[in-house]
Amino acid sequence: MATENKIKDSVFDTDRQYLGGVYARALLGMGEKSGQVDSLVEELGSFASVLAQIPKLRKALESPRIGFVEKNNLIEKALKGKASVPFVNFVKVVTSKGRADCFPAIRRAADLICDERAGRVQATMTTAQPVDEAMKRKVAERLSQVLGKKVSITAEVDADVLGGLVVRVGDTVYDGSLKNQLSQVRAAAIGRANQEIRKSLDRFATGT
Amino acid sequence: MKFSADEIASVIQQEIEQYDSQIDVREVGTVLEVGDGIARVHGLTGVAAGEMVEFPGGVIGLAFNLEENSVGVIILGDYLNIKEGAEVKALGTLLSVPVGPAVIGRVVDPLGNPIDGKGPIHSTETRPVEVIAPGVAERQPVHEPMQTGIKAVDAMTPVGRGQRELIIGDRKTGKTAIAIDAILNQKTTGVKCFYVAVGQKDSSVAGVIRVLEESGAMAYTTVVVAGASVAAPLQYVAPYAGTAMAEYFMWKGEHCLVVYDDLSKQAVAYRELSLLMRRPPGREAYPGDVFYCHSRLLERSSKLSAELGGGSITALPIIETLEGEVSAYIPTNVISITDGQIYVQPDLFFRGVRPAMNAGISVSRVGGAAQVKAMKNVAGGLRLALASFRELEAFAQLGTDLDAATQSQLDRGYRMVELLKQGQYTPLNVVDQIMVIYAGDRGFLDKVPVKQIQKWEKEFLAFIHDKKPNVWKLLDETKNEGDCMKKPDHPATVAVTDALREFNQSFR
Repeated sequence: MATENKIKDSVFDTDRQYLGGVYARALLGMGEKSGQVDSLVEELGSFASVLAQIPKLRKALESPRIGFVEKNNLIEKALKGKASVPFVNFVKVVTSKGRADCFPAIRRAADLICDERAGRVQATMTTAQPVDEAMKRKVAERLSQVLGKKVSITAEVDADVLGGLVVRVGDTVYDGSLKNQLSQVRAAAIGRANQEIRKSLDRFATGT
Repeated sequence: MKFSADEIASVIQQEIEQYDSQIDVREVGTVLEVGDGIARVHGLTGVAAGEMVEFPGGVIGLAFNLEENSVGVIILGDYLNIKEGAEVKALGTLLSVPVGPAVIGRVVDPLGNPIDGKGPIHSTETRPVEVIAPGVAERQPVHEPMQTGIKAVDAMTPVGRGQRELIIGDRKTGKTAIAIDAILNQKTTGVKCFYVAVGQKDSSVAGVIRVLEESGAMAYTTVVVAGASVAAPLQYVAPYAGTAMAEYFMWKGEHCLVVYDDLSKQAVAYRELSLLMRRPPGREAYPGDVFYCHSRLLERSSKLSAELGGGSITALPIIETLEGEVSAYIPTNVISITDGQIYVQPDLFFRGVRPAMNAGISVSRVGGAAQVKAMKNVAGGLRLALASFRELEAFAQLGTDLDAATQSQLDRGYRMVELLKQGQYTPLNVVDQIMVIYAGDRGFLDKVPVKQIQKWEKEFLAFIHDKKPNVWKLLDETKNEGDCMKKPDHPATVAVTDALREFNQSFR
């Protein structure tokens, strides 16, 4: 499961990510005007997870063979009464522009922008064994002190780290894992042994 | 073997005992796509242009393109094991190569790894591959000669220490031979030599290395090889790496000679990279900054001021033209950057004029300032005389009757051309060169049949070395005096003239 997630994460399109940013800023801008930022972001989140749960709906919205009148009807039927009017309009605009495949990217971008505005950061903590909530909270508190921002932690389990923990905030990795330390010790020991051997290289010279 | 396993074990044990665990903080990104020696990476938010990155497995890359959503990385090594989704680590340093006396006499790849099978390079120092060239205040004008040992070059297009002299011509015209002869001639001068082979056949590079070894030139030469089979990023980096190794000696006050063989292939490698990185193509599909690629490289060849030790790097870049087309993009660029060019032509080459240098369009913009005074006095008018001889020769082929003066000018021209021919791998001392060219220029050869000229030269030099070592020594000592070989009453002039007369009487 973990590996599947990893690959999914890496396979994303930078263009789509860029578009996601554009639409997310538009949605948040709209929300600011009407003062409904939080509810819009929440709606976006639940809509994106609905799309992930019902692939048929996602495929229908992405399909170029279905006209946008039909798509609009579909959206109306699906969301009427459940989502706010501005959000339904937003979904219609995105779909009619042929960007229905961008919803996950829009959601990610919107979350990032909201986090940044609120001074929050997302961190991923990877450990060899599952950790309890208290431990998570402790790490989050410590990280918040170091970074000066409110940190929310997602925990992941990867037996490969062997022990210790690896925390990733944005593009920076704080690696205190046993795996990393072992490889460092290995490199240092090899380097040192190499040096020692070189120092006494003459001992290898074949005597006559 | 006397090194026991216990000893190694104890060393490793010590290392583990002293190991101080620290949290490893690193900036990372994820490979989005990889191929043809480049990778596109997402993340690496704080990476700087030109910064080194590391792929899993220790392969090194260079951040090349910083874009809004991704970073373009050129991969210096095997890119076949890098996979999509792999983690890339920023190393926070610039690409560096090992430098110092340990690299002399070695054959290395553009990252400084030995490829000659002579074991690791024990070098304590490294230098960044890309540095900014010395500024105006750190330089002085080029004034010392850098003897190439080739009569035609030293007489007509003298190269000074710190000069950039381009060798340009079609394939198979002896461009590399000129550069190799220049390296061979540094045997006694203490000049460190660097031969950078870019995009060459590995067989030709092996041939060059063999020649250098056989003539003892590897003792002061480093060969940097990025052959035709390595990926474009390494070919692109090779000249900068070679220059970095030379700069170490320049800043120590020593003199270096760097041969880039050849820069047109480096430009092609750079074009490949740039197109893969989707930089917009310009003329001949080269990127817009291909001029800067060469100018920043060749600017690093300089003559440092006396306060900085007065070290120098002399550059002999080589450019291969197609069908003599010097007005193509890369040749015009490099011609405009360098301080002169030696133009070699196939028709001269096949007529037996070797080195096949065209005296009319070969120039050295530093000129006489970088020439031994006596040579300057002897060969001052030689280039123009030879150029006008070529014109006259073409005219004479029309079969018109010539007056005596023109005929004698022609005769002397034929002899001069014959005299400037020189075999490969036989660099000549400057004193020998001066005497021979003096003889040709002042009419001492007018009575010698053209076919006998090379025999005359050989025997005359043997005569001077065997019978008249004093004359040779006198000229060697006074060759830097302004009047030497110019005023008829200068002692060296008198001695050489007498020796020539004496030899001519016995020559047959």
